[in-house]
Amino acid sequence: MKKYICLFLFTFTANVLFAQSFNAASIDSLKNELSKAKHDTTKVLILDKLTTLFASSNPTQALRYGREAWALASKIKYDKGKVLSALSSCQIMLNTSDYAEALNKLLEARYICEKSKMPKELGNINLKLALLYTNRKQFKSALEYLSKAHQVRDSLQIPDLDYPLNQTSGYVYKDMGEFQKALGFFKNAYQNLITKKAAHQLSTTSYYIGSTFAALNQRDSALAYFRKSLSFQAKFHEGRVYYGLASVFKASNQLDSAIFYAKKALTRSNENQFIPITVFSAQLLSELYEKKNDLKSALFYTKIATAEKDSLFNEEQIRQIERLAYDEKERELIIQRRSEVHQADLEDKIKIYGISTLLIIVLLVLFFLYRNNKIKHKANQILHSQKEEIDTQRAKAEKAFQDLKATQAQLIQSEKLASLGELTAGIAHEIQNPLNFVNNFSELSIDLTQELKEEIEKVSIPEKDKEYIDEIIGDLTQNQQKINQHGKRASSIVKGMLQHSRSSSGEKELTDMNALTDEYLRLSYHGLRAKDKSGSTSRFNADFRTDFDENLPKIAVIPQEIGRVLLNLFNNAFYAVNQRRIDPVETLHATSEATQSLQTQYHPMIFVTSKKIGNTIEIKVQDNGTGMSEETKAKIFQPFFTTKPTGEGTGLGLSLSYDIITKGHGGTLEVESIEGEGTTFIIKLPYI
Amino acid sequence: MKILVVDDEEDVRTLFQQRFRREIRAGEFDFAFSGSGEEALEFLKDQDLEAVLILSDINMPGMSGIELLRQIRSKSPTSPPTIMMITAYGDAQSHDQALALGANDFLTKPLDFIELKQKLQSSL
Repeated sequence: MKKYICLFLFTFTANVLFAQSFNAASIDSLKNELSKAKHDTTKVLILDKLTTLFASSNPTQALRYGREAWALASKIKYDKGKVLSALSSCQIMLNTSDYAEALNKLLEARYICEKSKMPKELGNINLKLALLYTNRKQFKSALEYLSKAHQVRDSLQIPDLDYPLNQTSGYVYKDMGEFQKALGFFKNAYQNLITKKAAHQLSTTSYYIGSTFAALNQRDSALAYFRKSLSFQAKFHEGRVYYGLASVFKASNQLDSAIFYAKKALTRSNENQFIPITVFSAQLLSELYEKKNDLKSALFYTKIATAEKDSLFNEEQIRQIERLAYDEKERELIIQRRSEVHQADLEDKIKIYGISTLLIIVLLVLFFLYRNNKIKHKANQILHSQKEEIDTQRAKAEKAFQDLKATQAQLIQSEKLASLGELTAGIAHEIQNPLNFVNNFSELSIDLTQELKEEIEKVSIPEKDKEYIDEIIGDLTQNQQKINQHGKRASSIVKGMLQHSRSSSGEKELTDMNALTDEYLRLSYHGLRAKDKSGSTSRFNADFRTDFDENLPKIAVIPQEIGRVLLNLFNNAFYAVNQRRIDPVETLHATSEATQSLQTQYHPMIFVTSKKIGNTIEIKVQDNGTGMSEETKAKIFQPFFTTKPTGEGTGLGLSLSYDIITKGHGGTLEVESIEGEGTTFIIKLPYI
Repeated sequence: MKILVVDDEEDVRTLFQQRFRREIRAGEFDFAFSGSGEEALEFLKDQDLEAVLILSDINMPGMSGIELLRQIRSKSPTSPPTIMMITAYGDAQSHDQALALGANDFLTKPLDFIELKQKLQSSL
């Protein structure tokens, strides 16, 4: 009996959805819209509205619309339509005790809500399921769904869920016998409704509060809330409220009042096809009549109750519900397993992605390291090659610097020589005239002395005096000769000096340098041989060799001047080899024992070569003579510098040669010498 | 024939007088001396140019020998007088210039008096 009471109460909790009042005009309008609707989704929504509107007045028709809406939504795969239809239809199914179909639709709708992320609908579906399982006395499942609905409300903050959540929670706990807890939830639900002024829902909640008070044996409070529920004039609820009143009166043993309200409850529930209320009311009437010993009436109502109860809980329906529940558990297990597998897959994927990412990062790091290394290696190579280049350039720069220094020294020397040349030329001009007088007067004096001697001869003078006079005249003559000799020597120096400054009157002409060199070489050699009248040991004796470049082109030079240079160089070379031949000890710093040997072994030699180098013609005069010290070498091109004994050289030969080659012909005259081994003079003349 | 020696060196007079003492005594040479170009031109004003032989140095303060030559030859481009120039050693430029201006002959210092005597004798 208690079970039936609970079922009865449960079915009435869902009257939330029956809030809309029956409205014939609305139904006609909706039917009209349905016939005109072009889109199936619109049709689904209209059918759902019709389901709701017919729910209280004609549950059979309402379920027809609900099933039609579900079928159409399934056909067109309109998930939301299915969910709405399920919520509307299921409430009626719970009222009409069609639990199997209700459970089937609710589970499918729940699956859709989960899949399509419809949290509000999911919350409501969970509440419906909690109601269904409460009805089935499966409180564990009921509480699970209740908890899921709470989670949805709490996590997503959906205020619309507050009222149904409180209402359902109250119902579940009431059915579980936890009346105080249930009363708290119902009162919360009542508070949720006050601002909304929803008469039907207030009526329902008032009824629940009344029935909870009744369960707590608080008769007055129960009657007060039942009457409050009736004051909202919700006809649909009247059946259960009447039943509640009948139950309260029965408990207070007011049998006639109880029968009165029980009959009203039976009538109203039959009208609204509320089978549980019909069953409960019939049973109550049977009990009441039994108490009043009206057994006939009692039997009558017992039959009604039994008949209705069979339709409410036949075995097939119970099996169907259990099968569906089992299927749902299985489905949830599958979902859970899938979720676990999915989680495992996800974890595996995360691991794979993590490892892959790590691998990529490692590869990237390796790549960058490799790249950096390569860049560094390349940079090092560049640096190395740059260093080499710098070293090369430095070596070149150092060489260039040395060359520059040498050139600078040569230039300074040239400048010195040039200024010295100009100075000496000036001096020479000035000295020339007085020197001419010296020479002329000395010559004249020699003649006059001779004339004086001749005149004295004519005069008679004592012999003794005459000898003395002759002696004086002899000395005078000798002195005049000395003056004249040194004057002429000075004069020849001045001549040499003047040759420096004398502008050349010769014309440049294409000259065969090989022929010119050979001519002057022979001239020098034979000239020196002819001039040298000394004894056999010191007599000039030397050999010479030539190696002329046969392909030497003719070049434009002043032949007389180049000839003068060549003659100077050859004379010097022959002089040097001759000096070494005559005096090897002094030359070579040899010991006296070795002197003879060296003298016989030494072979004086002049080697003259010509060669074309680039745009230059090179004439080399090489001797194996005495050579010269570095000190001597530094001075040889200075005017008046000579190593020859006084009177043998003016010291102007090489100075003059230097001027002719450099100033006169734009060439160079260089010297290389090793003391004791020989000297090489190198003339370089530009050929273009 | 008068031989006019033009030279700024005073000792030239002494040298010539001593060197040609015999010729002067014999009346073979008659020397006159001028210390500059200007003096020479002044001297020549009163002279019969045909009876004068000029022996002039080139480098002199004031009027140079070349200028003297130019002025004399500007008046009588061909001859007389006979003009011999004395050039310094190596002064090829003056040598060429003198000949171009109409000098009859030239001598190079230091003077070779034997050569000079021969030239004077042949010119007189």
